[in-house]
Amino acid sequence: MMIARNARSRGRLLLGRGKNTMLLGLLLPASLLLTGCLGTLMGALCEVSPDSDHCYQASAVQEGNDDNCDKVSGKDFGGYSNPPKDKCHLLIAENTGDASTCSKIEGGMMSYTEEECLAAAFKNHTVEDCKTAEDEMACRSAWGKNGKGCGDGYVYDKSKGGCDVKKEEPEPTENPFDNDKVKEDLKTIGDAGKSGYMQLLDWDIEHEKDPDRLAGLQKYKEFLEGAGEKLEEVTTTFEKLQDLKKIFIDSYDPKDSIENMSASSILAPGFFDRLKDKLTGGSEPDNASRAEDALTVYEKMLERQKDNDFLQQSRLSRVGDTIISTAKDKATEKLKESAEELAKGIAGDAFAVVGIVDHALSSFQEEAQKQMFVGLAAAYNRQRESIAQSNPNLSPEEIHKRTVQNVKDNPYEDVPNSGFVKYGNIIENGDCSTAGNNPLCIDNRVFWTAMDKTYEFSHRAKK
Amino acid sequence: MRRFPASLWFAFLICLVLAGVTAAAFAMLKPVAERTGDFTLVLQYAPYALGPLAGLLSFIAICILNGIRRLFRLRMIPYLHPVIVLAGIVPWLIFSWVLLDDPRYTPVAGVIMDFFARPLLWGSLTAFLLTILLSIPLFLPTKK
Repeated sequence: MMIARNARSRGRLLLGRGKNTMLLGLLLPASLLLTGCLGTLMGALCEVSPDSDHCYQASAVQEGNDDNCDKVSGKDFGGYSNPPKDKCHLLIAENTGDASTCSKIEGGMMSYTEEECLAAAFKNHTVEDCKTAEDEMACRSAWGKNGKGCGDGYVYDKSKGGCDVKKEEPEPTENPFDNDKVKEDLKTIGDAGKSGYMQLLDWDIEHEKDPDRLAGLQKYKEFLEGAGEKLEEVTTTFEKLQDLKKIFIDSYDPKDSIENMSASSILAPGFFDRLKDKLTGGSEPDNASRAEDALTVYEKMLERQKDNDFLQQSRLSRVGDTIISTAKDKATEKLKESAEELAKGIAGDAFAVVGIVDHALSSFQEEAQKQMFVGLAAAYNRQRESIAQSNPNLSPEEIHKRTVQNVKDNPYEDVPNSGFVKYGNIIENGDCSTAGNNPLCIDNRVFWTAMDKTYEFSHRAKK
Repeated sequence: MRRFPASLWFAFLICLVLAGVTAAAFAMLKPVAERTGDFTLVLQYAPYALGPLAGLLSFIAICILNGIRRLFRLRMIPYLHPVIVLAGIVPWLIFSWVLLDDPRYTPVAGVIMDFFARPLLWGSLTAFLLTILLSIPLFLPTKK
């Protein structure tokens, strides 16, 4: 019994050490394996392979790293050209969108050209794919040099022939009109035009570089000019007008805009979806699945737009509250409504009516109606493929614009052999803001953006 | 029921499951590859050998780890046995998972993933889950 007890206590003492050893034993091979090893394994076998050129080519292409392309000797081509090596660079560019590898193409007889390589790189890729490139700046510069832009946050420097990180704009110098006299002279809204406040605002507009803030300032100026006539005698202060200016600028702030939503985060598969794809090999997305993906993105964007609309609505009521004092009488209420109507009339979409999104959200969740929306999304994808193929030099933004116009212009002629195309009703009913109780409508602010983002995501994810 | 997960027969059964399910998965999935050239015949039969090979290697690794356990006199700790069995199976699970994460940039990558990695994932995942399931009695309180 003593022996057994000793063994057990020794076991407990050693268990800590035993556990650590086992963990290390598990982690060590795992850490070696967790580095995406297939290309490396292939490269290791190329030394002994009878066809080392194609072996190194395959290894480099699989790794997406053109260093191994240099090991392709091209000995069968007599030194005039090296087609396997050039193809190596071309395939890497085609798979990863890294256009910088094309500069290493030698060309020559029976080989590939740099232009063919660049065309392969630009097909089904965007400059943002450079984030995964080995040399991101070289990749972006190659895109920029060929007129495709450097991507968000980067600018093309012609003198250097490459892309640079966009520098923060320097703070504007102090407004020369911002002085105490302007503040003293400002007693009513009518004074805004006379006291120099407008000069202050004009100076801000002239020096504003951010297009969204500029739009907000310009609408604010229009509002003040209108308010100067209708609310001339309403008392105000300099600080209140500055608050009002901030409300208008915030209304044009794109921070939460659906334009900044990413389809990849909405459509990214979860753990169990990935496990299912690995076990079954996944399936090629077809037109119906891509259209359903587009509707998923539309739904998520509608929910974000709903939140944005509520925010805008609260800003609108703050416009009224800021201008008019909070005393509760009929005259004050009327003035508040007048101020809000004026703001809505000028700023339009910036202070949208709440409730459109609820109607749009419920309109396609009924299964019977959903298929019509699927049809509309599929039509967008079809038209976009066709326009992209026949106009390869157009930018994605231009292709999207033409696609939307085509779908709206010819909803009944998209697939003539498939019978009556029902989604035409959705187009004819127009926007949910004007469709009344008709469930077959879309929120035009959101729908086409969702289609655009899903199309770009699905064409990048296809590879 | 508590004695079985603590015995070597348990490890043998799990390795057998790994081998069998891997081979069966290849037969059921029936992967197809283009441009296999000289390797067509090899690819028809080699994946069937992968399961037994993986099972054998796992069993050898488990026996070695059990030997080390005896050396440190840890035999009296019963739940270590399924842990050691998992240590023999999990590397195949990780290996096949990582292989299937690689992009399919070349036909060779496609063949490796479809003919070898995917059946191995089936086999190792089944063995892993079966090990967890059959080890549950070890953690239940015993009636004295």
